[in-house]
Amino acid sequence: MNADDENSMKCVILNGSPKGDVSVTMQYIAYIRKKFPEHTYEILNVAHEIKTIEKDTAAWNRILEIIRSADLVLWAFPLYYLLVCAQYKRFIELVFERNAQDAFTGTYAAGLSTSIHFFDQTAHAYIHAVSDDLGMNYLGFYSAEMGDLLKEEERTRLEKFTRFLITAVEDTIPVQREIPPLVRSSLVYAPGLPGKPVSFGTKKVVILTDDDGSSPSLAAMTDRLTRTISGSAELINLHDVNIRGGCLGCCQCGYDNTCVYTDGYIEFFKTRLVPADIIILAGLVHDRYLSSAWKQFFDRSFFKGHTPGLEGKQLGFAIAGPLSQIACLKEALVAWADNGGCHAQLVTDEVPDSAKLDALLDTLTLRLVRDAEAGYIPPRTFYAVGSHKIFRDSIYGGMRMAFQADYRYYQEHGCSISRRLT
Amino acid sequence: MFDFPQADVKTRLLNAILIPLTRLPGFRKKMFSNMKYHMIERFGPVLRDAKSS
Ligand SMILES: Cc1cc2nc3c(=O)[nH]c(=O)nc-3n(C[C@H](O)[C@H](O)[C@H](O)COP(=O)(O)O)c2cc1C
Repeated sequence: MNADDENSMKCVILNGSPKGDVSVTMQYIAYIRKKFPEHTYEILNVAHEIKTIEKDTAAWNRILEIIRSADLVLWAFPLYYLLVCAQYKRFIELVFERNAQDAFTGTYAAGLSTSIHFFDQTAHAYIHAVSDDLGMNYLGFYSAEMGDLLKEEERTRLEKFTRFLITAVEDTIPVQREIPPLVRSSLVYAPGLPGKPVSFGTKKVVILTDDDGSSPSLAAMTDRLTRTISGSAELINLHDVNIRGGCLGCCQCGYDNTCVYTDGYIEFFKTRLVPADIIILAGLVHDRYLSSAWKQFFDRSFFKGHTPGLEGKQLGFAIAGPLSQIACLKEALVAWADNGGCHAQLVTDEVPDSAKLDALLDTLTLRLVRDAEAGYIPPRTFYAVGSHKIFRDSIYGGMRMAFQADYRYYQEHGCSISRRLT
Repeated sequence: MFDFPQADVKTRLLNAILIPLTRLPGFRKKMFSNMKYHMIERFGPVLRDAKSS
C-alpha cells in the first residue's frame, strides 16, 4: 500500500468532467469518500485543467508523480458522445505522446461514469482498452445513471462495488489483460492514377479531416477522395475551424440551442455542414478512438441537444488505422450516424495494398453519390430506436427543465409522450 | 426501472411549476447560468447524511 497507514489504500481519481468539482460524477466520489474514510483520495481535475496541463510541464510532472503514488486509479468521468469528453481524451493522448505510460503500469484501475446510459458501454470499453494499453490491472467499471445516488438501492450497489475494488487491491488479485494490443498495418498508402471522376451533380460534398501532417496515409486518402469527386467538394480541416475549446457541459444551450461559446463552431456547423448532402469524415486512429480534435467536433455539436443535427445525410468515414480491432470505435461511429438519421459507410487503410484502397475509396464516393441521389437512408437499428426511447423518457421527465429546446422539438416532431397523452 | 416517466409525479409537478417560470427572462437567466450547480444541488442531503460503512 502506498498510503501512510498500512491498511489504507491511496486512490487517485482522474476526474473527466469539464466542470471540475462542480460535477455530478464527483458527487459519487464524494459519497465513496464519506463511506470509506479510512482510505486516502486525491482528485486530479485533468479534463477541467487540460489547457494548463498541455502547456505547463511542472503541472504535468506533478500529476504523474501523484499517479505513481496510487494503489488504485479511478477513471471517473461523465459520458460525452458515446465516450469521454474531448478534454479527457486529450489527457489520454498526452500520456501516450509524452511516453508517460510507466506512471500507470502495474497499478490497479477501474472506471466510474455517470450518464443517462446512452452508449455507456462504448465509453467503458474505451477506458478498459486504454487501461490495458497502459499495462494497468483493470478491475471493471461502474456505470451510474446520473440520479442513482438519490436511490438507496443504488447507493448500496455503489458501496458493494467500492468494497470489491478495495479488497481486490488489498489482496493484490491477479488480473488478465483482456484486450489485445493493436497491430498496425505496415501499408503506406500511395494512391495510383485517379480513376474516372465521379460526378456529384448538384449534390454538395464536404470532406472534413483532422489531418495534422502526422499520417501520410490519411493525407493520401483525403487526396484520393478529393480527386475522385468531379465538381466541387469542399475540403475542411478541423484545425482551421475556429473552435476555442471543448464543450463545458454547462447545458446553457438547453433552453434554445444557444451555446455559451462565441467562436466559429456553430456558424461552421450551420453554414457548411448542414447544407451538405454528403459528408466524408476522414481521421486517424489515436489510441483507441480518433483524435481529440474529432472528439471536440462531436462534443460541441451538443448545442443541438438530443435532436438530430445532420439528419438525412450520407456519411462516409475514411479511417487511417486499425479500426477493425477497435470494436467500440466502430460502434460509436455507426451508432452516432444511425442515431442522427444518417447513412454511414466506412473504408479503412487495413488492406493488403494501395490498389485495393484506391478501389475502395473510389467505390465509397460512387456509393455515397448514388445513395444521395436515391435519398436512401437505411432503417434505424436498435442503436437509434433504443436511444430515442431513452431520450424521449428523459426529456419528458427529469431533463425537460434543462432541455426545453429538445422538448419543443420532440413535441413538434411527434416523439413526445405528453403530445400523445393530450 | 420499467416505470413510465409519467409515473414520476414529483418531477411532473416540478416541471409544471418551474418551466412556465423560465418564460420570465430574469428567472431564466438565473436558472440556466447556474445549471451546473442546480444539477448537483439535489445530492446535498444524501452526502450530508452519509455515514462511514
Ligand atoms: C456534450 C455532452 C454529451 C453527452 N453525451 C452523453 C452520452 O453520450 N451518453 C449519456 O448517457 N450521457 C451523455 N451526456 C450526459 C452526461 O454524461 C451526464 O449529464 C453526466 O452525469 C454529467 O456528469 P458531470 O456533471 O460529472 O460532468 C452528455 C452531456 C454533455 C454535456
